[in-house]
Amino acid sequence: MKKVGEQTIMFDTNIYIESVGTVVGPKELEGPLGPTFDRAYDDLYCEEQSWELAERRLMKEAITICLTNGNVQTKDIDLFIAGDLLNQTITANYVASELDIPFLGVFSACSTITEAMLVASTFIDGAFAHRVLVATSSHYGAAERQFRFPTTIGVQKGGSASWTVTGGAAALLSTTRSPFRIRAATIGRVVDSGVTDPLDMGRAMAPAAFATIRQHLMDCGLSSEAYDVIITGDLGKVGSSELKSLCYDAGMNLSERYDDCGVLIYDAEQQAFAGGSGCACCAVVTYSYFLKKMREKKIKTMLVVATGALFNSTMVKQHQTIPAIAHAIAIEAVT
Amino acid sequence: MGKAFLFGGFIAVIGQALIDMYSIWFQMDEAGAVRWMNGTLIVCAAIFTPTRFYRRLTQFAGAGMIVPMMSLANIWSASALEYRNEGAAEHMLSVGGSIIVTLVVASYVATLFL
Repeated sequence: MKKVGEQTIMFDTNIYIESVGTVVGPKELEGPLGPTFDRAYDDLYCEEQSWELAERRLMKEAITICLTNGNVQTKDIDLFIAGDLLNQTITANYVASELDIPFLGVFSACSTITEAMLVASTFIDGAFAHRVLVATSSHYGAAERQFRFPTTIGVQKGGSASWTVTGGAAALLSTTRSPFRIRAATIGRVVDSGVTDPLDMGRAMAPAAFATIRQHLMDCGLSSEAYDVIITGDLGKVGSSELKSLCYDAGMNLSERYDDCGVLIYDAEQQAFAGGSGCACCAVVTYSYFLKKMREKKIKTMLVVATGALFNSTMVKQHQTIPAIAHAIAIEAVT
Repeated sequence: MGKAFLFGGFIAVIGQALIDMYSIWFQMDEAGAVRWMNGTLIVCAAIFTPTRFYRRLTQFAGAGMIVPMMSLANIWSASALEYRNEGAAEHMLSVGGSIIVTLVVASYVATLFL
């Protein structure tokens, strides 16, 4: 049985991350991880007419880079799984229309990338596909105006707000040997912690991340020391301290082996409030920074827990709570 | 809050300086100078909107920038700019429309007591 415990899948087949591609915007380039990305645009419009077209370009570019890095052509890919933040995951749909690969759209807000990866791994493990392409993207301007206000309007945000990462990321998953193997995945449950403020998503998502991490460790019979690094997607400063205290109360000590992509991607001077967020946040940081660390043998195992705040601007206006989800993927270095 | 207080006051000082300037240099009467001061500030707010300078100022000064009438110009021009591809006129009041409704209702109520 591949299912272990309540929510975790252990893959029998060796599933590898064959190649990755990351593209980011100007603010991410200026950030501390700037040099690790494959490509960066110095303008938020990315040579396009609108934010939405810019986002589409980011996802497309990431895929092109990923395919070039892996030396793979679209005809060799069995399935394309992608999702993004825009209504009806429109970016992924348009990109899929240009790729001519069978397509599955997925959405779990900012945890879309781990959802896509776990669906892809399951397909490969079941021999339903040999090679799967996963991709995601987000754009500061497009997200800001869909979920909040126009980008030039004068509003004052508190320290718990986040800055949507402008970027696109793609990865090829297959059984072709590479330095990174996907070992296990945990499907998260939706957790509603009662937060109603969309400018405080870290606090809304921390309980979901905690639930998934605890469940993963329980299902696999591991302690938190089993992983060299446990990373969350976009909890930000507020959410990650919340997660640490939740873990501490439950007797798990994350401290030094814990990192948050949203905290890592921007400097303190960049005025990004609590940190980065968005679908691309976890994806670009994991695929560039953490896989690079793994290739350099600085880390051997990591648990990627992308977190998503499942909210919608209509429901927020009706004062509904913000449910959250977190999916985890365990990646290990192959020596 | 201190920043909002000082910044709001600073804008009021600029406003007063503009009134004085218009009445001294252009020999305007008080009411005319006030109208021109308002117009100048509103146009300035609209000009500072596309570069996100106004947004940065608001992040810094908070209510000091939101309460003055300039913020109205900022909200409308920002909405028009943001939705220029989908129809500026249609979306221009999507954020700031509530202000107009409030103004109309409040003026109607006020006239009942005059």
